Amino acid sequence: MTDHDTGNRVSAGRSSAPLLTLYSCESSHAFFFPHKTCPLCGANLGETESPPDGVLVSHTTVRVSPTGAPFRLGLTRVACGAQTLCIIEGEIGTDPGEEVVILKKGGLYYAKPRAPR
Amino acid sequence: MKKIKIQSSYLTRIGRLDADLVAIAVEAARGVLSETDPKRVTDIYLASYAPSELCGISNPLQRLSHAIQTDFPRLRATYHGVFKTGGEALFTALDTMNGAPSSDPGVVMVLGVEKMTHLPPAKTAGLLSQRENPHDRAYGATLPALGALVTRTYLRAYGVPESALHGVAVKNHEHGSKNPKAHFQNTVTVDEVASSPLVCDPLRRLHCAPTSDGAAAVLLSTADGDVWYRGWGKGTDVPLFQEREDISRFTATAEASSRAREMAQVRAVDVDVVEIHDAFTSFELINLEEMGFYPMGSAWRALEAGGLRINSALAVNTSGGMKAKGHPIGCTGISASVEVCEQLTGRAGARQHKGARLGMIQSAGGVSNESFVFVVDSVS
Repeated sequence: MTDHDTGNRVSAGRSSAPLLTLYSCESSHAFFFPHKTCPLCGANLGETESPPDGVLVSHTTVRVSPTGAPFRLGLTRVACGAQTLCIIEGEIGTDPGEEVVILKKGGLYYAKPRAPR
Repeated sequence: MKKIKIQSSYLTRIGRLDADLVAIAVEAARGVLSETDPKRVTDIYLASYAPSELCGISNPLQRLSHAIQTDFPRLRATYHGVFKTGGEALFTALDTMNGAPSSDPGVVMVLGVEKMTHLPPAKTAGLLSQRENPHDRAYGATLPALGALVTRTYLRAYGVPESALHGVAVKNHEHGSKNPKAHFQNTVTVDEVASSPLVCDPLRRLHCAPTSDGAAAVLLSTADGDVWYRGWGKGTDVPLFQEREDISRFTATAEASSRAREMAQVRAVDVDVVEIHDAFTSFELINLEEMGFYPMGSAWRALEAGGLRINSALAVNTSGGMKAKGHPIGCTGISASVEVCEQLTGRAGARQHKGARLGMIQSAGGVSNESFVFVVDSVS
């Protein structure tokens, strides 16, 4: 479905955030990174869309970094299994498995809690 | 299979050294060639991870080879490299020697060096990150940051307590305190580790290997030596960290270890000493488990029961490991060979593991993106 205010394609599921563009092969291997061929089976990859709802796999607060610190870095996974690094925004609990919404901004992915605390 | 032996080995002091990269490398070359006619050396494999970024040397192969050649004018070797890690250089040298058509592949030097401490730590981290995957770099994902993501997942997946991370640091500092060449020769307590500043939670400063200066070299030949490389193997993982199916597993290490042990025809229980990649203390536990020494998530129990120490059933990182001995990146994989050689020949002094006959070495790059494993045995 389309958000009438922004014109973005948005998820018909739990979140109203824009759909994510992923890359998947016929064997359902899916990736955030735009590989030309599947790193797992070598098949061609095509664009696909995914709801932006995901779960936090792991996270940390980076206290020393060349890009400036501190900031919170996470690894998130969407339902089809694709994973991406992301910058964590907002209050996220300490337990991996927390549900998040993933957004793409300026070429990077950001995760924020699905339910505001 | 050729019986490739360590004819001689040498390790410089590891730590904060005044000498520059080239001078440190030359010291290692001198040390390893002290009892050998340089003319006999046919090939030299060099390893250094970031000589251009950290030391401004844009042509490290020429600089290092010229310096070594100047010091040893009788040397007529072919230079190979510069490899990213000592493990990679050693693996390539062994594979090449073993595959050489001649039964005598000559005398080969493998030398690894790094100079890292002359810059402020934040600057060093920034320069090292230039060698990381640009995708990870865009997120500011340093190696400790990725290591922290691995560690949190590992602790949770297997119910490993955070205190296990402290225990590895305490044990490796204890070993390092007996190594006169180690960067850190002080012991630390569990409380000191647990209260050290967070770097990337759950990793604290005393869970992390330092940046260090140093060089190590081995001379390999089929003619002379008391220990030999009985097997070696390499494993790789998917290039992008985020695309690993399970980030708590180091499949590259499992693959490399399996290949090395198959080549050597040895079992994990036969091994007496192992030098293992412990850039972060959690990595020591994961790598030990991936190498088949313990079931996944259980190495910490062996440590708590008094294992992994010198003179226990399996002595792990008798040198102090990267954690205490230090981590000059290009040097580390080769310095592990120096340590295992000293253990198997009874020359390890205060840190000698009684009855050490069979050793293993595991060396990795990145967050175990690639891993190299070697089995070292006594000739006798």
